[in-house]
Amino acid sequence: MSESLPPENTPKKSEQAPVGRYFLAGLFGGMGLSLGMLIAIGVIGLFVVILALGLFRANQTQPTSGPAPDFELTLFDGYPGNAGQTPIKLSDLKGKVVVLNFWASWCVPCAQEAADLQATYAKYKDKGVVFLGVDWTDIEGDARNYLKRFGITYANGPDLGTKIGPRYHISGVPETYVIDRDGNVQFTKISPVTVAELSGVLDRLLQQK
Amino acid sequence: MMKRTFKIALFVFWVVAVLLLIALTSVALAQTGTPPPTKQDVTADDVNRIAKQMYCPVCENEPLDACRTAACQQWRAQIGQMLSEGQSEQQIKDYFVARYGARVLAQPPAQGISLLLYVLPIVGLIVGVIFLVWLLRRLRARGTAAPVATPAPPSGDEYIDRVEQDLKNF
Amino acid sequence: MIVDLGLIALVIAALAAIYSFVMAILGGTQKRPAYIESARRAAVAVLPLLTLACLAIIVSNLTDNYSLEYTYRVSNSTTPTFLRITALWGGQNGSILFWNWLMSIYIFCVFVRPWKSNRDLLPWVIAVSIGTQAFFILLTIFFANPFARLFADAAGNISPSVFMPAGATLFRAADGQGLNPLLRHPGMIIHPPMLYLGFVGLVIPFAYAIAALIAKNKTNSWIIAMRRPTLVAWLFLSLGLLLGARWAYDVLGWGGYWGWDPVENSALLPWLTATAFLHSVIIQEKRGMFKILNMVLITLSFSWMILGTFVTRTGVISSVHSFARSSLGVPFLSFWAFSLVGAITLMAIRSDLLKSDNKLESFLSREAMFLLNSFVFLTIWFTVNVGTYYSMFSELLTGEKLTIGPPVYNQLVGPQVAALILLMGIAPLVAWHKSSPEALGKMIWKPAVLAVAVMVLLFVIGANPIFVAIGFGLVTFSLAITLTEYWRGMRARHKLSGENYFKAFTHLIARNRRRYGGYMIHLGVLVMGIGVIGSLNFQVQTQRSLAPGGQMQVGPYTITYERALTCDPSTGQMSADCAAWYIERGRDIAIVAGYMTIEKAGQAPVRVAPYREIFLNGTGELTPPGVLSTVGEDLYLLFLGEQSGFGTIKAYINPLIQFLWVGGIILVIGTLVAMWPTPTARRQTAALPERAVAVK
Repeated sequence: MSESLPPENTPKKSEQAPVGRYFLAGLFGGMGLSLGMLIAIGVIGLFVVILALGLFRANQTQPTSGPAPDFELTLFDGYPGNAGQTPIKLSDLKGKVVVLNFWASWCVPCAQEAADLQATYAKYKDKGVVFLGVDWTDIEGDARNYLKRFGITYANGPDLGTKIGPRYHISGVPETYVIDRDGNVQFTKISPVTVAELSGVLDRLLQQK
Repeated sequence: MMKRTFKIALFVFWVVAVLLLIALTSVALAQTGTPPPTKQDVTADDVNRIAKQMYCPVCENEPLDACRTAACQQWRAQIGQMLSEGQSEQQIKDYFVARYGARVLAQPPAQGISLLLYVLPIVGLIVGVIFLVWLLRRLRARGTAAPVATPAPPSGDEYIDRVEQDLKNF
Repeated sequence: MIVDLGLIALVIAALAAIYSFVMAILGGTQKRPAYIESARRAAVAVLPLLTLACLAIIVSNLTDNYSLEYTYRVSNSTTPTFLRITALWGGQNGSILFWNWLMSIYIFCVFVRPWKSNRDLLPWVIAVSIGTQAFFILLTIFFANPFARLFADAAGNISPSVFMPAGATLFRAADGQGLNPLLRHPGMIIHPPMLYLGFVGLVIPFAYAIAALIAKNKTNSWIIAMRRPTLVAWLFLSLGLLLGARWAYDVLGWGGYWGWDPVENSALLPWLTATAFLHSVIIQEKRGMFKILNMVLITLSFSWMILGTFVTRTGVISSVHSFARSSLGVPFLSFWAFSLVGAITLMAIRSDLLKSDNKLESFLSREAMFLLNSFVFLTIWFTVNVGTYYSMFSELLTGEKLTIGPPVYNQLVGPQVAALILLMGIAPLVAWHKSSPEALGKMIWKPAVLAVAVMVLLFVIGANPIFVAIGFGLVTFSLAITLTEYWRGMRARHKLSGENYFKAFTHLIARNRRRYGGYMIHLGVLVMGIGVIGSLNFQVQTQRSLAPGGQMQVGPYTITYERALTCDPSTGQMSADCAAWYIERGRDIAIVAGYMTIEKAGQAPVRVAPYREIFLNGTGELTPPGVLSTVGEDLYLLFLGEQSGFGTIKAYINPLIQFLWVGGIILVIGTLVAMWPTPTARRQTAALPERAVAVK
């Protein structure tokens, strides 16, 4: 069973490589040291960057000031409110004060503030304040029942694909944001709001020109 | 010219690889959806069969059939409702994805960036295998005689060595 | 007072660790034995100091000291004594202190006696291990201090702080929040200590490996020296994983035992590379090969252990397991990156040390099989990594979050594990250096035929899909070979020495614990494999709502629903039957139990009562099952609640699941066998060269 042996098969390139070592039987065997190390450092570096970015992202919290993240909301039929034609873009509402509320029909604390929100809406809807309700991870039938139950008439729409919530880094529902005429967040509440609270903020913002 | 040993080993390897590939494909094919129930009554089992493939949109990493919150019960009811309307499994999944995002699926659809999820391990495997084979061919000693089963190096125990000797005579 | 002592002890421990680290490096670089000895003693002193710190927390819990924030969070006046002690690891800050304590136990054991051999490695093993310890202690002090107390400022706002803020007074809460109900179950109590012991133990082999590089040690004495601590760490890591699975099955109640949750994967990843390391290091010991690969494997194991605890504690990948968001992220990430890059740089600098002593002679050799083994483990590791971090990656890229669930993993990892099972059978039969296909063929043809017969039989009787039959076939193949190994050894001994078979068996194992303990671990894994294939592919699941007296049929079982029992302490009204449920339970839990009877043809009926355990603080619930276990399967019943008089029962049949647990026990016994010191081995110290053996 003798065969002619394969010719000396060490590629010439590796012998002439500047850091010309190669390792027998190992994961990076056959490669020049520098190349193997470069790849390793590169991959680790990439991974570190991804993890760092992920960590940064995980630690981001709800906006309490600065420009409010823009979004597009497709309204439920029958709930146009005073926001305009569906789909509503937040950036189109510049010049008006916007009250943005995240809720869900299965959320118990949301029910606490539902009446308050509707009452505040009734008070301010003709004063240049737009109310937007974003229904977060909910079922349309149950959401409509909820809206009917509290007699809500302002603009409401589902957060389709759960895209709007993550933009505001919400940690749950309910959460309310009040955005001024220039599109900046001026008030953030990560629990149910009251009429008094909301009215106070809106009065203040409406006085600004 | 390749040595005979190596040829045989390579052949065995490819046979195994092909078998595994068949296994993989059959698994992938096997997960085509189940036909929708034809009868009007939708059972909890029908709902669970679909819910099992989805995750709760709110609570992270909780399968929809196991999740016990009120919201999850509503979602299961929604699935039941859609099934009784005659919608197919795929339609229900698409509906949930449109409403809540791709993360509700336990198995992301093999498109877009999710494709990378399936491609990456397989590509990694193929690249790794090619690399391994190349490495092994490179590392073979030169000037070898006919292959012989050589005894194991001393293991530090004379009984074991004697046992090994006897095993070879077995 | 006790709290102050605890904090002081923790700070002194940090100082001792830093001192030890500095002295070890100075002693090692300047070759000063006195410094090294001082470093060793300081390292050993960390354990008693941390013990004091832990005791302080425990005493605080036991004495209802609700001015300590940690006690306030994890205990209250109704918490039983035993749980007050285990609450030490019930919250984030306490658990990281506990982690430190466990690490210091390893360090104590390794350094308590002056080293007689490997003295060139000593300063560096100390430096790496106590350096890691110092990092974790400092992390505890500055980022997750369990000794923070509650202070009330002038306005009456209460906040936690380690040191008294100006103008504030110490605040003692009337009562604590109590231990998370999830953490009151025995499984959940033992699972973290086991897992932590596994994780922290990985610092020891890593330290040895780094030390060998720094000290330019060309021998394999470090491998022999670190083998036992590594096996201990591996044992605990395996136990942690097994107990976690068992607890999920027994208590969480979703019919399964492994969900490929990111935090579960974080514990699996270092286990994969550590297992590959334990195998591959044998080749380095015997033939001086794969040195780079082994360095890579142990570095990955250590780094991914750091990464794992980082991911769990910072909520970077949200999962049902994570602790809440915290500020630990940056230091963890930095340490992880530093240790990884540092190890690789060291490998580059000392690359000449990592040259192989021998060449690979044949693709069909024990060495090549082990290389293939490491390759398959790394492939599984890579796949699980991709799955675990993919959702984070996709979210960064597209803003869309994805969930990678069990179907993805099962499809990708399944075939890879199949390859591993095949290797488990073939590798031990392949000779060192070079093996002839004929010789190998002679040894495997009988098990192979058996395996094919099993595959065909299973396929014919309807084991669908085909890969299930393949899986069982592979398991049969490797089981047959492994058992034959025992048989051949026993028979040879019997022929040699005339012992009876039983004695031959015990002596065989005793004389070579590493090999036969290792085979036993393989047996355990293979038996577990049977359990996994069975329960994963043939699980039957059904759910029905029944009126009292109604029946449902699941497989051969008839389940008759009797009635439900609701016990809610918050309503004040509880029937007499409820008393039995609250003997050991706190009053912050509501119980909804379903009584039912299981009947099988020709057997006496069995009564079970699965229930829902609802946490009244709104944080969730458990659904512990009622289980009827037989050799072949588990009938697993969940009670999902009662509505309008109808009780909802979910029933699973999990075939072959006992094999999973039995296999786990075999694995643990095998590990104990493998690491148990033999009398002759004890006399051998690490520095002795390989013994010359008189072979006839």
